[in-house]
Amino acid sequence: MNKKIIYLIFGVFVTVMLVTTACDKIEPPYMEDNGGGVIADTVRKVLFEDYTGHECVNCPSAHKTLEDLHNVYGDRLIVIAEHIGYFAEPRPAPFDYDFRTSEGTEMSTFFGASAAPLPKGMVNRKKINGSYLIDKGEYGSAISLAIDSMPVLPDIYIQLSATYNSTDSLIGVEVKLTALTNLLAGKYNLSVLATESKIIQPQKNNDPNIGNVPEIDDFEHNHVLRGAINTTWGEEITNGAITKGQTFTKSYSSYKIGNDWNPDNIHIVAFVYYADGSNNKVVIQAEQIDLR
Amino acid sequence: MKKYILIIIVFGLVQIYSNKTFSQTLGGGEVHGSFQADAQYYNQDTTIGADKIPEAIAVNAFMEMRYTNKNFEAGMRYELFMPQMQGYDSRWKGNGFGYRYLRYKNERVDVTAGNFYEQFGSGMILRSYQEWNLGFDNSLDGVRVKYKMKALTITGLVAKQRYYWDVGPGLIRGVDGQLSFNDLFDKMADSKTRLFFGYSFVSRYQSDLDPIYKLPENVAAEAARMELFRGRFHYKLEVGWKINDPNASNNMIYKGGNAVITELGYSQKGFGFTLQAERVDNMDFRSNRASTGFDLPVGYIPAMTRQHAYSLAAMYPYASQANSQMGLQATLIYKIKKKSTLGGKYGTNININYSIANSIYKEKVNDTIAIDQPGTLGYESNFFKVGDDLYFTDFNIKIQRKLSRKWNVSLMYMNVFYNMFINEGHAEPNVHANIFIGDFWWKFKPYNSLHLELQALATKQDEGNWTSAMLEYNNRGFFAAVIMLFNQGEAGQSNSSVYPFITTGYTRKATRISVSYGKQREGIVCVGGVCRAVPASNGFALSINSSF
Repeated sequence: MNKKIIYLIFGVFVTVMLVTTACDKIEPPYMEDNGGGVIADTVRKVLFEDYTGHECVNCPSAHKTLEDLHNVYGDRLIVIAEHIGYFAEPRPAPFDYDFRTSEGTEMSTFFGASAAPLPKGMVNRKKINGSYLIDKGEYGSAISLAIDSMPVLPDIYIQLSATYNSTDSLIGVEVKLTALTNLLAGKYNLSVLATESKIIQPQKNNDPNIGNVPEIDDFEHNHVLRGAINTTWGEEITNGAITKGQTFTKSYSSYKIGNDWNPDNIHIVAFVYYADGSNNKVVIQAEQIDLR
Repeated sequence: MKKYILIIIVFGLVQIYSNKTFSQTLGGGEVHGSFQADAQYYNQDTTIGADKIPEAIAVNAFMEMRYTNKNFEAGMRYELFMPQMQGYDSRWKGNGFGYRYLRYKNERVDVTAGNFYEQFGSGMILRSYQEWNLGFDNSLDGVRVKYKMKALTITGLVAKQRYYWDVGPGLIRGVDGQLSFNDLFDKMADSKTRLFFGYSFVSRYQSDLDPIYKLPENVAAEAARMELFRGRFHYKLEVGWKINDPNASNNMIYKGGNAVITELGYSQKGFGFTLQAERVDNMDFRSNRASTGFDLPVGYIPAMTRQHAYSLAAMYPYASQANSQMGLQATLIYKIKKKSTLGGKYGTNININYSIANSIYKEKVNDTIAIDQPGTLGYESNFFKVGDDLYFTDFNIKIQRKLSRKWNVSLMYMNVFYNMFINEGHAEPNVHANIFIGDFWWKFKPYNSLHLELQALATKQDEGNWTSAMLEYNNRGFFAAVIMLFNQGEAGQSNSSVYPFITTGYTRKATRISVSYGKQREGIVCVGGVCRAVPASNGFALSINSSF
């Protein structure tokens, strides 16, 4: 009989101990109070590549997560929506619009996103747990890690200015880079891309809290990659060490916008990244401005 | 040319292993193991949507070895995906020892360090397993201790979960106790009634770095179960709970989860039935709250539906929905007596099965919060109310009769409803299909038989009607089969496809080799309600299994 009592006591003890110690019951409010986003250009900013497609039913909820994160981080979060792979292929109307770009396809193939189930994201082109790509549920923690755990002051300060010549639909961009710290010898590249917001086209959707299911006829597609102003992988700015205070200036004067782009909704995104070594492709700093 | 070289290499390997199809002794201990290799050459075939791959040939291979010496055991498994076969997650690409462990076991204590598989009860809150047909392995990597007493076995573990070639971010702690009342109370020792009770507790730790949500870092799940056997009856009940676990699969809601699985069965010679019921509410439990799909499940919610072996019967399989599912399944088996008018000379077996799966009922928490709105309690649910969405139904009847010493016949009819959005995630019309199968075995000489399998699937939805015929010849360990699968295509469209396929192979002792060539349709493979999409393929395939 003693044994039975021992079993019972043991069982009750283990249960009580575990149930009371190994769980965290969260009480409302469930959301963090973050105040508003930061608006400044001498702060570290993060490049987020949002791999998406108009036929991807889970992508609108990923965009919603990015909007929530934009409310937290403001302009420190720079998003490029790259429509890629199977879910971005043009289909019979109304899904006949082709959001894809050759640069987006090339980049997403390199990072393994073109064959991955969507949505997927990528923060600063940096691997997390051995993979460039992260799932929607990891967007918040990965962006937080890239912003909150790093010094606020960026390693490189990017100043961007843009002009638009409406007569011949040409974009001009000037980029001035200033090193705010010393950087080790290596190759450093600058990429300059054009994105567009407020493109109204249909989108597949399975989240009734966002819009109609299974299709939203007038979905607003934002930050859509339109093309690379200085080629897919950008241009080398130096192959050597960078010293604090060193500056680089690059100008691009004749990038022609597409017939159906609206210059009022175009953004210019520029970022500097490591172009060799163990950090190859990792973004150092990003910046974005509106074309006008 | 490459493919022929590969075939020669793999056949060489088989020769090596098949020559050693018995256990080996080493230092007083024993070595056992198994080897498996599957290779496929991919041709481009636009008619069925099959793609080439840059490497031309994909190979999945595994070799497992286990050394036992008295109470000690050590084992490891080498795995190779170079590259992974089509339909397997690209994150498998690579090779290495994905599984290794040390184990000490005596009558009372069983300790494992390294990788291990474990299941508490039905697996509702913890099940780690490997299923290479799905490209799935969520083995635990840590320490497990089992302590066995006469009536009670306690299992405790601390581990991380395997995540392709890495481990997931969550830490899993678990305890399980299994108590036998017949062994506990002397009065029940010889009772006809056998009663078991079990309780398990699992907690996941994952740090909260999320800037938007206040996330619980420790998420606990509990489950209690009982099993009762008396005479020809048995009854099982398992109930589980989980505290708030906002995660990617439940749209970041803070509602707790719960699940109930119950089963009543009866069996006697020539007659048996099973009734099963299941209700699952927000129980998707993973070792990474951001994961979805196949990645890092800790709990396992079975699909309460029959898993069919015939290819067209398995065309529309149900994928278990761990966050919302109410299901029922009933199975009846009956054997009409032999030497009776209806039963014939050898008797006739009848097997009838019906299953249904629905969503659970959800209503708003209050007027301002939409159902499943992230960062809220999500919804409320009346336990007994059935949801509006029908996910799946399957009625099937199979009649099998041995006509003579040489002839055996099985006939099957199946009616299935398949919710396309729930099972495949894209909104196309739900499928209603009728499936007819005739399966004929003719043993025309000792050790020689012919097997003809005819199948037809009729539906107006998805890809329309399908028919399939297979003729197989068996002679001791040798077999050869020809399969013709035909898709009539969607109504009103001229997009029919033919999928010819031939295969042959040989089994000797514990080694089986098969080669095949042909086209395979795009489809879904499910094991226990866990499903994987397989793309169409056209090419040569080789498969080897061996154990020693």
